[in-house]
Amino acid sequence: MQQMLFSWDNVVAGNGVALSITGMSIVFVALLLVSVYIALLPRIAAFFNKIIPPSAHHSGPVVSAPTPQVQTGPSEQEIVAAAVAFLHKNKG
Amino acid sequence: MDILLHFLSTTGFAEMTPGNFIMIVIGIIFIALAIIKDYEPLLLLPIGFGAIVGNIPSIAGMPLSVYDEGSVLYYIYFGVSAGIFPPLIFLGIGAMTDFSCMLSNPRLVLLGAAAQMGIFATLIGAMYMGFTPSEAGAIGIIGGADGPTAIFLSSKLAPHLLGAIAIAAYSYMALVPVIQPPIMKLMTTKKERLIRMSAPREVSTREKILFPVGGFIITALIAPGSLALVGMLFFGNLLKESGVTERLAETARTALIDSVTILLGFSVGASTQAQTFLTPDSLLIFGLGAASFCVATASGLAFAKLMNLVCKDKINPLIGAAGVSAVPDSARVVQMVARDEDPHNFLLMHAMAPNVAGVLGSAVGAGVLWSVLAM
Repeated sequence: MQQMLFSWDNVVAGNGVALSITGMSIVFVALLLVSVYIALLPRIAAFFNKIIPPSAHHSGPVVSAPTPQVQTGPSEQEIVAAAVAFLHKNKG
Repeated sequence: MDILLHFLSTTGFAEMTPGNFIMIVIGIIFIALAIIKDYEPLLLLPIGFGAIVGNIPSIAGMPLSVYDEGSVLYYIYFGVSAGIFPPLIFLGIGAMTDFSCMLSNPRLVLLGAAAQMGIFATLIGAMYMGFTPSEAGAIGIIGGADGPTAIFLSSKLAPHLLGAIAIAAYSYMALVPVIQPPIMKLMTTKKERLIRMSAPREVSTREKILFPVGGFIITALIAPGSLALVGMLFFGNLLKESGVTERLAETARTALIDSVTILLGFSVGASTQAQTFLTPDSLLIFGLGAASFCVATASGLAFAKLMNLVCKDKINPLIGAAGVSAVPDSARVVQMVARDEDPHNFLLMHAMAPNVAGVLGSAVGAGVLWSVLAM
């Protein structure tokens, strides 16, 4: 800080207003263009999807393999039914 | 006996100045705020302890402080003074940020731009008070509410003010829940605060991958000065979204950002020696920083209200306040204020859009100021 002297002349001498307006405009333009790019993203993504389908590279959605049918033993109900049938048959 | 007397004359007690004592008390207050009030503990605690370390008087001729070339603290502080730590923090932020909310509603990006008004209004204010243009630019960036960006720019434009600017930036970021709600309530009507926004659309993985690449090219070409910051931000985000570098993304958002935060917070705290920190300039910087935060919040809110005049699909103007880039605190404050009016109104996801756009906006703003003022 050169000198603690509150004066509008400091702003004029340093082109403060022009600098602020220009800086703010650049930030707005940059984010406006980012915003436009984001708005176009679904179309750009669709275009890329045609050229390189998402499943063609390994960050694409994972296609789950069919779950193999595991041969399980008899269910609990079947075991109970068999036990009841056995008891009924040997009751006499 | 002479040896003992000589030793006693070199102790911290003998060299302690009232300024050092005040700074040690401030350091203890920071630690207390972090632990008791939970105000930005990840930053205030290292900064607070660093302030205590930095204000223990050092022995003449022994390299101990951050300003003594060859000392351990000097080399840690080099990451701050050379602007190395802030881009590394941006890498971590990029790796932990989900841009989906912003990608699903691109018009909200403009709120992140509007809130940068705080930076440029403060620039004029600082010049008015007699700061040089470079110093004014470094002070103005406090309004970006982004600690790493503030440190990065002040290390380039006004290294002698770095300690005060960093402390001001992080203090106000911690005070977001205190500063913002009154301004939000003052500038909006109850009817506006009750506005509910439509649910954001789902964003595809492809869009999330394409965004950091294109976003970086656009912003870096417009403001090359922001290259280090936005480059690391988008690179980190690409690591996260690509789906093929999960290990790197995980490191960036955990171990790396944590390590850098520790070193940055501690060394910034240690740079606040009373002799360089307790000056009238620091008081002005704190005043300008507070004004900057208020202007940034008000600008975001005003722009959101302006958008409602021209847009059919209304937005809740409260989310404009999240344009200051204190991520995610300002978005949380928006949610809190909205829920005070309507407990079933969930604005957090919507508020995250201007919030992350604000990070981008403040980095671009810093790049512009560096390009213009460093020449």
